This record gives sequence, C-alpha cells and structure tokens, in this order.
Amino acid sequence: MLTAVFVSFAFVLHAQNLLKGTIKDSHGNPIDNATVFVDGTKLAISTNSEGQFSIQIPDGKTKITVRAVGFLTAKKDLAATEYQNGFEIVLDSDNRNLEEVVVSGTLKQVSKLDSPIPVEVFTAKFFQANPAPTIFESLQNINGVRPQINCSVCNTGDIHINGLEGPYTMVMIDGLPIVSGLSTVYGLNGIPQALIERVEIVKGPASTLYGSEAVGGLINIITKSPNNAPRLNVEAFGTSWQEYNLDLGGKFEVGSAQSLVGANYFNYANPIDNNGDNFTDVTLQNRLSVFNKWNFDRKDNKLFTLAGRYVYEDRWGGEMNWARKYRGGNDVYGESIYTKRWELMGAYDLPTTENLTFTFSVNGHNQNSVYGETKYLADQKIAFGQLTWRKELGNHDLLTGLAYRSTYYNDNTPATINSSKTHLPGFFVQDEITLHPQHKLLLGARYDYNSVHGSIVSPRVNYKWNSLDKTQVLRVGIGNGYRVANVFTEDHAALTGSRDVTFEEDLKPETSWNGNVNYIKKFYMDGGSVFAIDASAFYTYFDNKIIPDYESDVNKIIYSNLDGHAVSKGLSLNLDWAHTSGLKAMIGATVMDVYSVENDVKEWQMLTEKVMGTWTIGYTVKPLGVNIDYTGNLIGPMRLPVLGENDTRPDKSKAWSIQNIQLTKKFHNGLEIFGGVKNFLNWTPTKGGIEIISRAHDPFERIDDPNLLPFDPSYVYGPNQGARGFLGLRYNLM
Amino acid sequence: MEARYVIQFLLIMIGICAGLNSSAQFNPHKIEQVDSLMAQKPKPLLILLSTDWCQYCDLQKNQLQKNEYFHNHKDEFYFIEFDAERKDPIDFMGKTYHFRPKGINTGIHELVTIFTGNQSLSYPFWILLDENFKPVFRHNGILNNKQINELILTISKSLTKNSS
Repeated sequence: MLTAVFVSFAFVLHAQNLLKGTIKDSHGNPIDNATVFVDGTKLAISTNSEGQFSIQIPDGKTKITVRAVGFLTAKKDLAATEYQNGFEIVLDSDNRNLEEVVVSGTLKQVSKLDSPIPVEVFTAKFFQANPAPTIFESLQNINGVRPQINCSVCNTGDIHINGLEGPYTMVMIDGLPIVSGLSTVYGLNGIPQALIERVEIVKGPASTLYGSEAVGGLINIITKSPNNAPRLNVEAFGTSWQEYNLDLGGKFEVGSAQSLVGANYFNYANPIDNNGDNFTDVTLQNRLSVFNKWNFDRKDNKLFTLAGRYVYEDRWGGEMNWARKYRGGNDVYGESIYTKRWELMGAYDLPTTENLTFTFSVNGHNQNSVYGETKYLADQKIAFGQLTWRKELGNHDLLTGLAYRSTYYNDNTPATINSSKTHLPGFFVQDEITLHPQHKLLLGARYDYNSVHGSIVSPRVNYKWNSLDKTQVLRVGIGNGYRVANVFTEDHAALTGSRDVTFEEDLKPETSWNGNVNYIKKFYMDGGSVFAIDASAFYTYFDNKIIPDYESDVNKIIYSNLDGHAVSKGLSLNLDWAHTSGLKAMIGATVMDVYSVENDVKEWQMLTEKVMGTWTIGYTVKPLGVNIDYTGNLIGPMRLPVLGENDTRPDKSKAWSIQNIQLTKKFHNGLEIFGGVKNFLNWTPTKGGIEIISRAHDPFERIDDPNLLPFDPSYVYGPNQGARGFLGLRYNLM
Repeated sequence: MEARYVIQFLLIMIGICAGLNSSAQFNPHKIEQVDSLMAQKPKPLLILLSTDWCQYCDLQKNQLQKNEYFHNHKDEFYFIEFDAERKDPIDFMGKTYHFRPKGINTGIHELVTIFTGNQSLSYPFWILLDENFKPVFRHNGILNNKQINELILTISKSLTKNSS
C-alpha cells in the first residue's frame, strides 16, 4: 500500500516536469510565436502555428509568463492538474499599442528627398479621408490638381494639373507607363485602394523620360508589396443617390510568383433630375474593372513584373425618359458611351551584369458612343516598348534609353477618313550628378521622330539643394515638352451638343517650355508635431497651342493652332501639420493665371480658375476608436462658354466649394465602418436657377425660332450633384 | 506680388524655428552592423523601419533625438534605423538579403518582410527583437515619447530579470 502511494507520487513528480499547453487569443484563435517563459529561470519556448508548446519545468518553479506581439503579457501560477490535462491561456489583445496611434503614412506632401524633381506622395489613407469610387474623383483633395467634368450630359472628365488639361498627364502603375491616348481617366480605375501603398504625383514636365504625354505631369500608382498586402480586402459603400461601389482585392502565390488581384464594380442606375431641366443630373454608370499584377522572383533578384487590366463601362445621360431603344435616334436625346479598354504592361531586367531594363505597354481602347444622333465609334491601339540602361559612374547616375511607340487610330468621323498609324521612335539620355551631398543636378534630353510631324527635341535641367539637417529642400527645374493632339479623343465637347466641328488648318504639335521652383521646409516641434511648408512657383509657355474656339460662331467649335502664345503660371502653397496625438491638417492654395495671347489680345482660358484651395483635416478620437475627416475644396471664378450676346447666363462663375465630412470606426478584427455626407453645403452649378444645358427642352432643335440658343451642354463647370450621405465598410484579412 | 508675401512668410517662419532645432545628436546603428554587434555582446534590438518618402518617420526620428530617457538608456539595447527601400544586399544573422523590385524604381528590401511577417505595413514600423532575435514587439505607426519610454522600461526590466 505504502509502495503504491510512493510510486504514484513519484509518477506525478515526474509528469510535473513536462508542461503542455495552448495559447489563444480572445476569439479562440491560436497564437503562434508566443513566448512562454518560466519565471526565475532563463527557460523559454515559442508556440507553434497551432499555438501549442511543451516545456520542461524545473523543480520548485510554479510560475510562467506568456508574451506575444500585440497582446498583453499574462502571468500564471501552475497547479498540479494543469500538468496532467494540458491547459489553455487566453491572451488579451494589447489595444494600447495596436489601436492607439496608427496615424502613420497619413500625411501627404512628402517629397522624395533624394530626387531633384519634386514628387508629392499621397498614401492610400489620404484618399480614404473622402472615399470615392475612383482615384480620379479622389484627386479633388489635392492642391493644384482638379478633376474636371467636360460635359454635363455624359460627365466625362479629365484631370487638370496646375491648369494644364488632362491629356498632358501620364498615368503609371509601379512605374509601368499606361500610354493612354484616349482618356487618361481610365488609367485611374479598377485598382482597389487596399492594394495601393501610395500615389506619387509630379506636377510639371516629365517629357524627357516619358515623351509627349507627360508634359503636364505624372501620376504613378505604387502598389503594396504582396507580402504586406491583405490576403482579402473588401470595401463596399453606397450613397443616398443609390450609387454603389464594391472593391475586392487579394493576393495569392504560385510557386515563386506573387500576384495581386483587384476588381471594382460601380453602379449608378437611378436617374435624378433635381434642377428640373428634364436631363439627368449625373450620368448613369455601370462599370467593371479588373486588375492583376504579377511579380516573379528571380535568383539574381532582378525585376520581372507583368500587369494587366480590363475596364468595361456603360454610361448614359440625357433626357429623363431615355431608354436604350432610343440610342442613336432622334426621338429622345441621350448620350450613351460603351467603353472597352484593355492594357498589358510589364518590365524585365535583362540577366546581364549591366542594368538593362525592358519595359513594354500595349493597350486597346474601343469606344462606341452616340451623342444624340451623332455616332462616334473609335478604336485605338498603342504599343510601347523601351529599353533603358542605367549606369553609375562615380557621382554620375546615367540613364539612357531607346523607346518606340506605335499608335493605331480610327474613328467614323469625317476628319479621319483613313485609319492613322503613327510611329514614334525616340532616344533619351539623363545624367543625375551628385555634385556634393547637398547638391544634385539632373541633365536630360530626348529626341523623338514622329512619322507625321518630324523631329522633336525636349531637353531639361533640374537642380536640388537640401540643408545639412535635411529639413529644407530647394528644387529648380526647366524643361520643354510637346504634344500631338487628337481633338476627338481628348475633347468631348467636339462630339456633344449641336455644334459643327471645323479645323482651320493641319494642326501642328504644341510645344511648351516649363520652369518651376519648389521650396520645402519642415519644422519639428517639441510637443511631438511636425509642420511643413511647401511652396512652388510654375510657369509654362506654349507655342502652337490647340485651342477650341466656342465664341466666333455659336454653332461651331473651331480648332486651330494659336497664332500667338499661351501661358500657365502660378504659385502654390501647402501647409501640413501633424501631431502624434492623431490630429493632422493639410491646407493648400494655388493662385494661377492661364491665358493665351493672340494679336496682343490676352484671353483667360475657359473653364479654368484663378484661385483654388483644398484641405483635409483629420482627428482620431482615441477612446472611441473613431476618425473624423473633414475635406473640402474651394474653386474661384472661371470664365464660362456662353453662347453669344443672346445668352443671358453669366459668363463667369461664382466661387464654389464642395465640402465633405466622414466618420470612420475601426474594429479590432480588421473591420472598419465609415459614413458621412458628401457636399454637405449642397452646392451645384445650377444654384440660382442657372441652366447648365441650353435649350434643354429642345435638344434636336426642332422649334423654328432664331431667337433660341442652340442646344449646348458645355457650360458645366462643377459636379452637378448635391448633398448625399454615404455609408460603407472595409474589411482587411491579413 | 504674391511671391513676395510667400517668401516673406517663409523667411519669418525659418527665423522663428531656426532657434528651436538644437539638441544632442546620437547615431543609430546600421542594420549590417547587427551581426558583429550581437557577436560581441548580445542585446535586444530595437529597429525602426522607415522610407525616404515617409514624413512621420522623420517626425519619429526627430522625436527620438530629443528624448532624453531614450538617450540615457541607449546602452541597454541596439537602436537600428533601416530604410525599407534600400537597394543593396544586407547580411543579417549570417544570411544575405536582397532588395526585391516590384516595378520601375519601386520595391522593398526582403529583410523587411522578415521583420514584419505577413502583417500590414505602414511606416514608421517598429520591431523589438530580444537577444535571441525573437520578435517581442511589433508596431505599425508612430510611437509617442511616453510609449517609447514604456518600451525602454520593458527592455530594462527584462535585462535586470535575465541577469538575476
């Protein structure tokens, strides 16, 4: 009997040495890589992927400590039963650390310090301050950048950077150019914001490296590294106008290749006519875009990446009773556009010891549209290839390249009787010289040969200085650019309304010279805040500018090269303030003067403001885990296209402002809910009973009255959509 | 006209703030020094991941420079600043890690992935590794002085505990 007791006691003692257990979080999920320490010893062990561990406990030790990243540390006294049965420890999330101060990367205006060219960086969080179905709309929050709607019926738009119009802006994904031609706007669709790490914007010419499309600037969308992208992301929101937007994003791996996938679906199918002109206020839309990017790991760690995208869009606007059966007819006026666009692009570093990179981009854009009875069927295909060689020699960083671009274009308009094919071979060289740790100089030149217009040379010089402590940066740049315009693909005004389109001569390429100065100064305050000033001055001088003339004849749009010159000049100032408490404010203002001079007569550019301001103010209410974002813009008066002396509408707009407010609540499991009011001032361009569409009651001009103005929807100068609420959710599964 | 006001404003602001920016400097260690430092004397590693375009990172670094508590305890751990988009290979724990490009002029150093795991990453990113290179703490975002001091206090405590 006594022996039996002794034996069992010994057995228990022996068993006591091995402790087995599982570490879980409060949702019951196992925690891997948690560390279990035996107090008073140096013994420690990590849990496996099931959260399990086993450890030998030395005699006399009865306490353990469990630690894991993101969780509160737990201490536990060991009881004899726990040795036999194994046991479970639940760790509470360490909300203090994970939820308290995630303000990182929210700030914009972070010029890349090293670059002689001013690059503004905006993280995905910046765009979330006022969520929008496309990055195109999100750009309204950036100073100096304004998405503009060109047509009040079809709502097609472009992007103005410092007063320069959309076709001057080039869009890239991870540095891969989307050589766009038709409608830059589509370059910004379809990539879920959860897959975007940041968006870089260069305001000003970048033609030396990218050719004619980058005269006004560059927009480069940088995706997340697949490792740190969410495995699954869902973002959905709806508005009180019954606009619905769904973003899906994710990643997967196949062998050593990583892939990001994204899809966006936007639907607006509820015609609204608040201003009572029997025309839809906002174009109805049905849009699907799919994006896929691949990165292939290579043994030599060189680059190999491929990306593709497809966009399908069906939009219509017009009289409220329009239906698809009226498409292209003259019973009910409607503008209906089907767009199909595909893109494929990639970059491959050659497996050579020299740094040789091949970049390509091909895309096709098909537009099937009707504007009332006028059909516009266009087809464009672009192929672009570029081989670059990068070489560092002492303090020189040399980049040279050969580029080739081929454009096929055809449409059904009388201006394009035969399909056109242009070839554009080019050569460029750039040298970035580090003169001194604080001084950098960039010299570059590009030569293009256009099969229609001949040789074109575009040089540039950029210089950068930074202070020793890097809190001050000064950049000066000058360069030239050129652009071969295709009026139909770029200017929807050419197609909409009743005006005839005429060309005065063969259009010559526009050429421009641009200079800019940029100064940045950051102040770090003792209380844990940063204050940054970013001031810029820009000046662009155009020759041969192609300007649509709406005024000589109200029934015509006359396109011609300007016999004189045009200027876009201005100053912009951005102020950023951010505090570790979670309060941040960004306020920007731009004053500019965009005009043309012909026969000594100076004329202010149509639909271009002289003053604009933007702001984003955010605050995190920590106890509630709620973010408040207040965003807005203020656009000064613009000159408007009135229809001659009989038009009673003002030829100048009043200053207008669109302001938005949003609340976001973050939950611990990756879920966020957001909601707010867009345009809560309820501003629309129809305020004060102004008709933005003239002769809206008679779009086919059947009433025989010479006193009536022609039908014309080009008077629009801001989004015709009043206040609306929105509510949405975001979910990220890491 | 506008330009003159802007410049005047800038000059005044510079004047005001020039006086504020003076403080003792300390030099963080480089990530490639870690192997030799740890061979000489193992200590916890406090790593700050940043990028050259991240302004909050600059704010964080600036705060650290002024944090006296941090200065007084800097011998208890190795503080390392690491640019997540560095292009050169780095030896760490006896292995070589490379920059992984994901597009033209963009990419991430694969060592970053070792530190962050498959977590979402926004800059600045903090990681604390113990003497055995085991991650003890990860944090996405800026830490204020109080939080940094708490972190250092934890390091100090674990040191005293381990040496007892």
